[in-house]
Parts: sequence; structure tokens; C-alpha cells
Amino acid sequence: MIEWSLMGSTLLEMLYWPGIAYLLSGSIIGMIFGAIPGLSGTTAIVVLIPLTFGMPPATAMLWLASAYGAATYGGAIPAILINTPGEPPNAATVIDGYPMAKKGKAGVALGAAATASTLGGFIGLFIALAMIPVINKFLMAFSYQEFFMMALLGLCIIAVVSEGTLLKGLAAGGLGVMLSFVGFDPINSVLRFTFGIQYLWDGIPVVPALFGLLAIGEAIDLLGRGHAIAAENTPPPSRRQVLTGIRETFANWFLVIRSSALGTFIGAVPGVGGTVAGFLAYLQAKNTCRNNETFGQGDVRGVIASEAANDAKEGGALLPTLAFGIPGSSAMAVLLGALTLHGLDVGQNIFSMHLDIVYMLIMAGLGCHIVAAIIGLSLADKVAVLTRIRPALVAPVIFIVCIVGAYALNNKIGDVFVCIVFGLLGYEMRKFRYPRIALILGLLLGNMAEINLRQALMMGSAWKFVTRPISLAMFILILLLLFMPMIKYFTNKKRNSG
Amino acid sequence: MKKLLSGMIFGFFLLQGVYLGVPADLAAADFPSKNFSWYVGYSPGGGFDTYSRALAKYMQKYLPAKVNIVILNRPGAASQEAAATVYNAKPDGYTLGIWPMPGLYVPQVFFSPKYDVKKVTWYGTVLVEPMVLAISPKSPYRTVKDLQQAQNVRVALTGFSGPEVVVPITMETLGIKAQFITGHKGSGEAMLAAVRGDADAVIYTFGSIRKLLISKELLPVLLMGDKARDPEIPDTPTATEAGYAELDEAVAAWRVIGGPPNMPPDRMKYMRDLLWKTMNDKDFREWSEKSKRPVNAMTGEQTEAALAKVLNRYDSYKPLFEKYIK
Amino acid sequence: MKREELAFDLSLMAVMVLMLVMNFAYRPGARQVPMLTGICTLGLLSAITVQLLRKTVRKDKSGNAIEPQEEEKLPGLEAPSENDYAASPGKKRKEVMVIIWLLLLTAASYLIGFLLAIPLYMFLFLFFFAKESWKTSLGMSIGIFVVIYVVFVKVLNVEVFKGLLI
Repeated sequence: MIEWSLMGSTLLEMLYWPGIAYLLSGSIIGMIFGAIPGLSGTTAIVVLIPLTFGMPPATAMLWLASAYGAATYGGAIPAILINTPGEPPNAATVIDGYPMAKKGKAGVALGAAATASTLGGFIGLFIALAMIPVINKFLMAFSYQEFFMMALLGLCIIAVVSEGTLLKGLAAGGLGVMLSFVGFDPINSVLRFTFGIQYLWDGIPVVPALFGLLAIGEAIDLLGRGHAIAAENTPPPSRRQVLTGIRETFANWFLVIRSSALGTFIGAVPGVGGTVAGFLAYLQAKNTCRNNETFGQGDVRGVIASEAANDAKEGGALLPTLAFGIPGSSAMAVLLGALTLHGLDVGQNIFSMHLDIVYMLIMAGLGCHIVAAIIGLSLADKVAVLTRIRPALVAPVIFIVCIVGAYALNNKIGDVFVCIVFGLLGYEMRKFRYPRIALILGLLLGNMAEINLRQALMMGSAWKFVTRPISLAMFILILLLLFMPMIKYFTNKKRNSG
Repeated sequence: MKKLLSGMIFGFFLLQGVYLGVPADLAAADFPSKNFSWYVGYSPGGGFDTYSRALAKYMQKYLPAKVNIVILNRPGAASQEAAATVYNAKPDGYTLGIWPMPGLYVPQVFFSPKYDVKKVTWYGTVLVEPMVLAISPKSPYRTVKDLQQAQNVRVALTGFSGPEVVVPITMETLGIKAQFITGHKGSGEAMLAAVRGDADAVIYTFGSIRKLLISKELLPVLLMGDKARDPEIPDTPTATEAGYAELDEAVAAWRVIGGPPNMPPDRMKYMRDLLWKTMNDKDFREWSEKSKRPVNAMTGEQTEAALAKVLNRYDSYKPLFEKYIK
Repeated sequence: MKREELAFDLSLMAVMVLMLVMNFAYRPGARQVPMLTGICTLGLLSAITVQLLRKTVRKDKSGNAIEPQEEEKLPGLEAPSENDYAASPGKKRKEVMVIIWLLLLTAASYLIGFLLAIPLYMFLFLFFFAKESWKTSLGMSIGIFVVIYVVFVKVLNVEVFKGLLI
């Protein structure tokens, strides 16, 4: 089934000149775009497309895919260092990544993130390729009930994330969900909560809100505290830390595989959105790992799970793209567009017509992860020094990056206001121990949950939620997640008092 | 020393202000002399975006060297934002956009956005795409008649915007009792819903739905907006053949290029000629062939006339939309 | 501290109430889920506020208000202890100043555009608030201008906001 000779020649093309130059430059560009909050891998592709016009399509794909693949690791860097995900999918990495930085372990986190990203990317692609024969059946099994359950599962993370009391977490989540309802409701064709402002038609933009909530509050606190991100008595970043990070990732190999698999599946199902992948993987990690009380305070396994999943999801996103021509993610959409611009008919079965391009995509996807890992790991300890610089220099840069990044997304000055407003909200929430991640999850998933719920109900009875196997499985999982802590507590109590 | 330094610092900021404040092009005779801003109301990668980038690429050869076309994606409010941005820009010829018509007319009627499609300066049309009514193989229906006799046909779509405004029109004209399942994130998700069997039918542009038709995952039953049957789906009748000629006139997805209203006539002529030349460019046509992105070019004048007719027809559909939108 | 938290809680509740009121005017299909969510959230916020009001101001070393019952019922969900948030007045004043500077940056960006406002802010903030040397202040200021100009204006062709007054 796999044409090994073609695969081999593609690999060689990538490794020799000029292929290797494109692989390297693409990966570097991608990492930089990913690392700058406000820019993303998709932006990188869009910027590079006009520059590829003179190239043969395979080379263009090599360049674009390298940039995109490397960006997902790049996004982990600010997530760990300044609590700001470089791209939304990296959001789950901040939960443990930033606390690690505060403890002076940024090097470990970066090392783990790089390794987990690379492994995740590989595993994701392999799983995706293995799934190709059954892809149709797989995609057909996911309908509105399953999408709803997935969103609900994501919302359950609110209960699990520890940054404040449960009550406050739920309240913050509820607030986030309410805010997600702002905008045009496509089910009923009505505008909700927009106060007549056109800008709010599409709702509250998540990315600027994310920047505001996570980064600005931290930056203000930094200046108030007066010392650097890393706490005062922590050791400086070192090569050894990075190696520890690598080692930890391999030590948790099963976690990496689980998280990558989860990420791949989520990426394969269009309509859910890849941002959930990191969060769900985190949820899975917290609930399946031993000694999980340290999650949320700087447990490297949280970083590993999140990063593995969000690199694996792009492998998953390949599947509906190849199977139906329906892009599995926004980056896939742009890549397809790029192929079209190069004169390729992507409507046809791409396997028969352009197998070399497909192979190149895969090769580049693998190759860029390796390059990103190498570069990332060698620079990790230098980059981690950021956490030791005095706040007076770091904080204003954070403010500026957030503001400019928020504007750069869509050229709307409104996004900057959203960023600032949420920044102040995030500052207050931080002060009073309301978990911000809970609000973010609500904002991301609330509306989606509602839409899928409504669609599911339009389509059939409510019983379908528990009669469809995958939906039922997820429902049971949700119940377990919510009640497990209580059950554990009571069984412990019994054991102790008995 | 200190004084000198503070003077320099002050000067630095002053210079910035001057640099930023100087207006760019003043000479009217010198058009074009700076970059164009081309607004696309959808994210990169979609059909509108791809056609825009392709046109921009081949347009370069008809422009002076230092003039570039910058594509700006502004997905927002189903393309209304991009439309508003273009509409309210200075009519100096440097701002243009690609407009999904007659899709953008419907929100204009109901939501008072900041544009008026009847006043846009049209430069030309790159494609008038036919739309296909397709049925899910998992549904019990196989022909238009089946749909007409059914009690409840589930139709998947994202919403009543853009090319999808034709969906209620089609259903009403054919007399199909449709239940609209809106809220899908994109056309891809809506089509997948039909492939899965969650919906019975969808209506989309030929370009978007083509792959699924060829692989028989969706079954085409009616072709609207085309003069003759399409060779790739030879068994599918056109609307006129099926007895619904008005659907052939009203239902089609126009990809039109236009700029702000009240353009000075010389610049309007320049832009129209520029677009016309590009659309007929041999390399552009070759790209169109290879990538299977058809082109049926129309001049600015032709576009104006044709659109006026279509919009008139859509005025008569207003009560229909009122049912679904308000 | 308690008063501020109370104010915050009450503002959140006010937002919820506002949204619920607005919600009432929408079609049944559109208002059901928001109504449910809004009421639950309002309930949660009320419980939090009541909790806050009832207890004596007793803070443990983590600065976390302890609700004894909560702790027994659901272990593992408590916040890990962190730096004390009972901010000293000096810290608080600093934070307020930072916020004011940030708002000034935003307003300036809106009025005179990014390319002017950002370097200006950087220089003034570093020099006057952070008391950095003029060399550092100027250096950072120019540096950030260059980075933004190169990355955003040249490479990305993004029109950085020009500002209303210019």
C-alpha cells in the first residue's frame, strides 16, 4: 500500500539541498511565529504563500508544512515563560508550565515541551496514517451528541483545575459560558447580548481575552511583587534542567502515547476545534496519573500531556482533509488553499493524483518537529533566562506584545479593548482566587456545547445521548470525573476510620 | 551633554511623528503608486480567498513594480465586516474587496450593516457559480419529487448568510417542507452532517461539494444557476429542465469584486480594465483549468446590470426571509 | 481586602443580572440555555458572597479564605497555597499605578497610534516609573519600535493602528 520507493525519494529530497534549507528555515520561521502571541502557524503559512509562487508544489508544501508544524511547539514557549499561550491550543500548557517557571524550573518545562511536542507529532501522524482505512467509519460515528459530550467533558475540567475553591471555579466557568453566548446565535438567528454593537456580532474574541486574562494580570502582579518570574531562591536555568525535561518525558512514555492518541482523535473530528485537545489531554493526565495532587502547581506531566496532544492533533486533522476534502483545521484549510493556488486540483482523490505531495507533507511534518526539537532544546536554557530578568523590563514588553498581538489578529481596535478589559478582569480574578482557566474553558466551550445540544435535540430525542455508544461512553466518563473525588474521599474515610 | 541627549530623544520622537504623519500619495495622475488593500471576508484557504490570491498573483504583471496587492482576511459577521470596511474606505481606488452576492444583500435588509450593495462600485465578476441540491444517501429520498412529497426534510447549513441565502428560496420554490439545522461551523461540517445522515439534504456551490458528489457520498438531484448540465454530473437536471426556470436565475453564488461607492470615473475605469485583463490573462486561465477553479468573467458594466436584476428578484423574497431571520 | 472582594463579587452578580434581564427578551429557543446557566452562576456567586460576608476575617498563611465544610467534602480541589495575596499597601499602590499606565498606553495607542504610543510609553514608563537609566529606557524604547515595525509593518503588512488624531 505504501510506495516505499516514492517515500524514500521524498525523504531524500527533503534532506538534500535545497530541501534541507526549506526544512530548516521553515521550522525556524514557524517557531518564531508560534512563539509570538498573536501570530500563529496559520499566519506563518499565509505570509509564506506569496513567496512560494515560483516554487514547485512539493517544495512549497515542504516549506509551509515545516513552518506550521514547528509553530505548535513555539507556542509552548511563552506559555511556560509568561503564562501566555503563543497559540490557543497551547493554553492548557500554562496550567503547569508557568508554575514550573515560577519555581525556577522553566528549563525542565521547555525541555519536556519540546520532547513531548516532537513525540506527539510523530505519534499523531502514525496513528492518522494507520487510521486511513477506517477513517470514513470513524468520522461517521461522531454526530451532534458526541460533539456535545466532548464540549461537556471539556467543561468538566473546570471542576478539576485547582487555582481556587470549587465554588469559585464553577462561578468563573459559568461566567465564561455566559460570555460565550454573546453574539449571533445561528440556531435562532438572533443577536444576543451585543448591546447593538456590530463588533460583538461574532462574540467575544477568545484570543485577545486569553491574552488579557492570562498575561496582563501576571504582568501587573510581577511589577507589584518586584521580583522576576522565577522565585528568588531558585537555581538558574541550565542544560541539566533541559535534559531532565527530556528524560521525564521519556520516563512517562505511556502518558505521551495516551495524550497523543487522544489529540489525534480530537484533531480528526472536524467541528470540535483543536483547542480542546490540550485541555482534554490534561484532564486525562490528571485523572490517570498517580500522585496527581501536584497537577496545577508545576507538574511536568501536565505540560507533557498538553503539548503531546496539541501536536498530535494536526496529524489527526489530516484525515478529514484527505478523506473528504474537508479541512480538519484552519491550518489544513490554508494548506489546501495553497495547493490550489499552485494549480493542483485538490478536489480529486489526492492519493491517486498527487501522492508525492502527500508524502512530502508527512515527511515535512515529521522533519520539522525534529528540527524544532533540536533548536528548541539547545536554546531552551538561554530562553529560560527570561524568567530571571527583572520585571520592570519584562512586564511592559508583555503589555505591548499583548496589545499589538491582539490587534494584529484581525486589525480590529476592539480586540485591544477586549484584551485590556479581560486583563483587568484577570487581575481581579487572580487577586480573589477565581480560576481564570475556568473562565477560559467556559468561553471556549459554552456556545459550542449549546449549539450541539440544540442540533442534537432538533435531530432526535434526548435518549440518543445515552443510546449512542460513543456518547454514552463520554457521558459515563463525565459522571465518573465529577463524582470520583467524592467517592475516593468517602472510601478513604471509611478505610481510615474502620 | 544631558541637554544634547534629551534633545536627541525629543527629536527621535518628533521624527517618528513626522514620518508617520506625511500623507502617502498626493498626485492623482500617479495612480497606482502604492499598495492595494484587497479584503476577503473569509479565513484563508476558502474559495473566496483562493480566487482573490490567484487574481492578485496574476494581476501583478499589469501593475508597476512597486505596487503590490495585499490580501487582508477579515472573517467577521459572515463577510459583512469586510464589506463594511471596503464600503467605507476612501474611494481612491486602493481599497477593494471580493463580495459574495447576493448573499450580502440579505443582512443589509435585516440588520442594517454599514454598507449598501446597490451603491458599490463593481469592477467585475470572476465567477457565477452554480449550486447543487444534494441528497444524503442515508436518507430515504432519491429525487426532487421524493423531497417534495416528504413531511419533513432536514437541511443542514451554517446559517442564512453568504451563498446559503439561496437555501430557503430553493426550498420554498420547490415546495419542500424543510427543517433547517443551522449552527454548523462551516460548509464542510454541514456537508459532513448530510454524509452522516444527520441531514437529508444540503445546497452548496458546485466547487465546494464536487468531491463528495464524485465519490457518491452525496447524491446530486438538481443543478441551479447553470445553463447546461455539468459533464461531471451528467445525470443531474438543471432547474430549467425540471421546470423551475426562476431558480436558475435566482440561485447562484456570485464572486464579485468591487470597491467603495462614488469612485472618480477614471479610477473606476482603470480598476475595471485591470480586472478584466487579469481575468482573461492566459496564465490565469491556465491556472483555472489545472486547479479546477472555473472562471466566467464579466466586466464591471455587465456585473452592474446583472446584479441589479438579481437584487430586484431578491427584493421579492423579503417576506420569505422574514420568516427565518426575524 | 474583604471589601474589595465583596465589590468584585457584587459586580459579577450585577453583570449576571443584567444578562438575565436582557435574556428575557429573546425567543424561547435562544434564551433557555443562557437562562439556566445565568441562574446557576448567579446562585454560585451568591453563595460565594454569603460565604464571604459570614466569616470573620480569618486568613491562614496561604491567604485563602477557609470554608471548613468545603474542605472536608472535596479534598484535592482546594487551591495550593501561594504567595500571600493580602497585599501590602505598597504593593497595591504599585499595582494601581501600573494599571493606570496601562490604560494610558491603551488610550495613547487609540489616539496617536501604536508606532508612536508604544515607544513613548516604554520610555516614559521605564524612566519614570521603574526608575531605569535613560540608556536602558531609550534602548528598550527604540528596540521595541524596531521589532514592531519590522515584524508587523514590513513582514506582515499589518497596518498597525494609526490612531484617531493622525
